[in-house]
Amino acid sequence: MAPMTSMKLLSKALVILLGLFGITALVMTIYLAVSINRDLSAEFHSKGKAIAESIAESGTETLLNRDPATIQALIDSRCDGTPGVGYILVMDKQGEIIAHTFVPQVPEEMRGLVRDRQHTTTQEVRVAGQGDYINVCSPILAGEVGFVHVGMERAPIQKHIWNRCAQMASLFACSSSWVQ
Amino acid sequence: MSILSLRGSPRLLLVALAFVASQIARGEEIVIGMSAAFSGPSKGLGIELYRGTMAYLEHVNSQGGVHGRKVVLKAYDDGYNPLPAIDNTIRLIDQDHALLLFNYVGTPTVTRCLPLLKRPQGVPVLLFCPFTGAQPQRQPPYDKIVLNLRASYYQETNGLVEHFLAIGRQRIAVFYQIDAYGRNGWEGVRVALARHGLTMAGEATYRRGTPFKESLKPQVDILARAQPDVIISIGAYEACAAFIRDARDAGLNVPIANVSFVGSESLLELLQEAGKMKGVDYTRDLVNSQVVPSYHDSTLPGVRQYLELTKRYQPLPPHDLVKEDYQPRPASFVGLEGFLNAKLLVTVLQRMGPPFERQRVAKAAESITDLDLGIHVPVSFRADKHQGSDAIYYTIVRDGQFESFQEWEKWRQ
Repeated sequence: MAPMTSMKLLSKALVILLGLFGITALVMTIYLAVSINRDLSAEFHSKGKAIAESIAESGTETLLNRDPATIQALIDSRCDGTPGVGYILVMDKQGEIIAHTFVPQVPEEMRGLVRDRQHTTTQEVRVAGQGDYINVCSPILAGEVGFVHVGMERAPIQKHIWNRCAQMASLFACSSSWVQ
Repeated sequence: MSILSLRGSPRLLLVALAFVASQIARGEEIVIGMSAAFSGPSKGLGIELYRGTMAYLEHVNSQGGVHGRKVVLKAYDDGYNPLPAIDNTIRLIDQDHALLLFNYVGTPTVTRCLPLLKRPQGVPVLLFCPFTGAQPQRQPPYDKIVLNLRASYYQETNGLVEHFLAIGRQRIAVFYQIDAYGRNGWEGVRVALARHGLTMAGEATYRRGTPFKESLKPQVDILARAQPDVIISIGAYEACAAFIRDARDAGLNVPIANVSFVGSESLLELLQEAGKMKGVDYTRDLVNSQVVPSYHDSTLPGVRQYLELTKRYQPLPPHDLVKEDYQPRPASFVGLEGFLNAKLLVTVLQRMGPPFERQRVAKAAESITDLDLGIHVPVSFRADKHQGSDAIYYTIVRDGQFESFQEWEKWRQ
């Protein structure tokens, strides 16, 4: 009887241990996901802000002269080879599009974006069929000339989070099998 | 011993003189720099432009060159991408010491290279005859350092819009490459329509480098919903041919126009091949604007000379430039443009005379007045006028080739 009882106790303890282990792993994974999301979002936001503001500052003269080819070359140079940049859109004061990077057309979601004449603003945007973006908007000459929108992709952040979570899960699975 | 040396000395002297002369000649070559697409989906443009230019330069060099100096065209491949074009420009200016830059292909490449030409610490390097009709090199701050022979995209698109409006086709949509080139053409159409109080019926974009095999059905669907009377394409030949194929397959049978950059022969070849496979004529209702006359017009002395010299020299780009399969064309609009560009270049060099220095180029070019390159279009430059020609020609496919046409009325509605 004694060995049977001790076996039961051992298996109970093991289940409790595994349960605690699982809860800890879950909490850690959630914490990891939240912190990765927060840190990478901040990083992408900062990158988007830098791109939007640099275009807004360097494009004033060009926009005043209304030269779409030069503005397009300017936004292409910021978009090419910059990881995480999903789109760049330059609109005039009336909301008419001066330059953009969308294929095959500018999505409808871009028409109603938030614009602030004084500050660079951030907004979460979901574009049907394309994905989620952190939209950073900078005014050009206090909005008198127009606005620059830079869409930083959420997909790389989400991919990074999933990768980390998968690593955590693998680590947990290895550890629990070792405990067993 | 002395007899031998006396007999041998004239021969040795000749060999030595020939060696010295070759060294001097090598040192006194006039180096012209070119960066263009010799690879990728737009390689046909760079290769044919180079071939047209070399047909004339080889002829000039065979006649003793310019003021006794051989004109050397140093070319690099940029694949129609801005970053390699920037690298090539730096190399041409600093390492190859090119007297001037020439025959650059494409708006996205040229617009990114323009700031390199100003050289605040030194003498600006002039860019001659870029194969683009875009605005950035036609307006400050770069208008003084670029010498354009061809008409602008604004002029090409304006001409197309005016002709279509005149025959009652008011719903004009635009299919364009989403970069500086496409956006420049888009703006040209917008401005031309705005003059008549009209706006675009619709617009759709594609990414630079899109190959012919790719489906452009999403773009076709977007434009079909706009119910256009005509579509103006601002793109390169592979994507434009794919768009025409998919539009016709979807039953969108309105006239489709392309501008000169498209590369008409390459576009036609793709459409003819696809049409043959499917038993469909994809070449109907196409109109391409050109900035040079048809190379079938043998009444023009410049065209006759182009055809004759291309046949005589059959120039090819260096092997290290063309790594992909390419079948050179006997003649093309792009080739003729390269040929005319070379004639202008040689005229400027002849007027300039030695010493061939960068600071002397602009003055020599700006002295040209009413120059006929053999196409009956007077070409003039001044300090405040850096575009030589305003001529636009329109072509349609007839008997399997692009030929001049005037019969816009057939599309009246």
